[in-house]
Amino acid sequence: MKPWEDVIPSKSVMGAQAGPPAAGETAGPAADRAEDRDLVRLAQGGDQAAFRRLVERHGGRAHALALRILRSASDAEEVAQDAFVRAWRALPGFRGDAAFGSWLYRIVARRAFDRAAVLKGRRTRETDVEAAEELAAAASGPDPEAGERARRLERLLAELPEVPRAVVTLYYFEDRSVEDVAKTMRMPVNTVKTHLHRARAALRGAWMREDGTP
Amino acid sequence: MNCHDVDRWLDDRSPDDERTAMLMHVRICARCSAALGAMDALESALTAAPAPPRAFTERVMARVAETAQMRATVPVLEVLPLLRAFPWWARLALEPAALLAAVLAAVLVWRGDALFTLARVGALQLGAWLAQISTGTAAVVAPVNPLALALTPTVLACVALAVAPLVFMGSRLLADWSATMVGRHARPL
Repeated sequence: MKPWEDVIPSKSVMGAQAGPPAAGETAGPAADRAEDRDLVRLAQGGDQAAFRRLVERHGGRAHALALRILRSASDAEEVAQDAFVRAWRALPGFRGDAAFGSWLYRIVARRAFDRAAVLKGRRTRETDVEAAEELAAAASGPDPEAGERARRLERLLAELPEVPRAVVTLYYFEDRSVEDVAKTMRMPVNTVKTHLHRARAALRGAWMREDGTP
Repeated sequence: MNCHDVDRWLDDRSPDDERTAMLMHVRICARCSAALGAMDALESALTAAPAPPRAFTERVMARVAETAQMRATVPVLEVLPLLRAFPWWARLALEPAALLAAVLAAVLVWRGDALFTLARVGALQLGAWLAQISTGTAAVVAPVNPLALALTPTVLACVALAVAPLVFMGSRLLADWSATMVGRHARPL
């Protein structure tokens, strides 16, 4: 063990394997993308069972992204459903230039931002709390510690503006690729980096304050 | 490296070559150790794959079952892959531009005189019309009706032969454009 490893959390943010388990699977991102490609190929031919598997693999993240942008459970569900239906319709024309997940999240993000523009001003504190609870419950599973972490995260995310919230969410959903987030959000890479920096600094600072660390 | 550098490293995901220095500082600084722990907890929560709402998949699939997929290609394009089985010179011969050039060359060789007469009459008529609008006086041109020349079976056959590849080329461009539009709608939405 290296001398500093005793102060590094076991699942450290620095670890090279710290990327998210894409699509909620245990295999690596490359294997997940390969499986997605196979499923997409089948679904492009009209195979609904294959598309169902894609919904199962990406439904949670698509819904979470919509919920984080909209902060309203009912609107997020509608946007996520619409995104999948649109993806199904347009799938034969999907050329695979990007990963299916990136393409889907792009649809979700666009729909959610459009909906957010319509709903502007109608959001209330209650919808924020409702959204935070919904996401915390969805992310926690049976682990109470993960549930508490998820609740804290959602509470802190609610304090961020819409765009940095979406950027930081996408960054961790898209295998930490700034380039993919930039494509999804149609933003320059440097703008994404700025949003990420600010969002991370704000979230970390708030988290530390809650822990009583100066 | 100091506390400010550690914060910057954590928030910017700075390059790995500074990692050792950052970790050495974290080892002796309780505040930065807490910062690292906070970022670890945050990232762990951010990367967690949330489950969709109950019966979300069923609701999506119920809508999918009622939704037809868009066609990515138009029927004409589905025939085109067959052309790949032909040798390059056969495919080149089937290209609209090559067909057009071949037809025009054949027409010129076969009935060049008729086309030349038609072009000459057309040029004379155009010249007379330009002279009339510039000077106000009608020029004296032999009273030839170009339509009478144009409507001869030979010329009509030549024109039809020349127009056919143009129509084919136009339809192919339209097909490509349609496919591009379908693809464009399919990608960004």
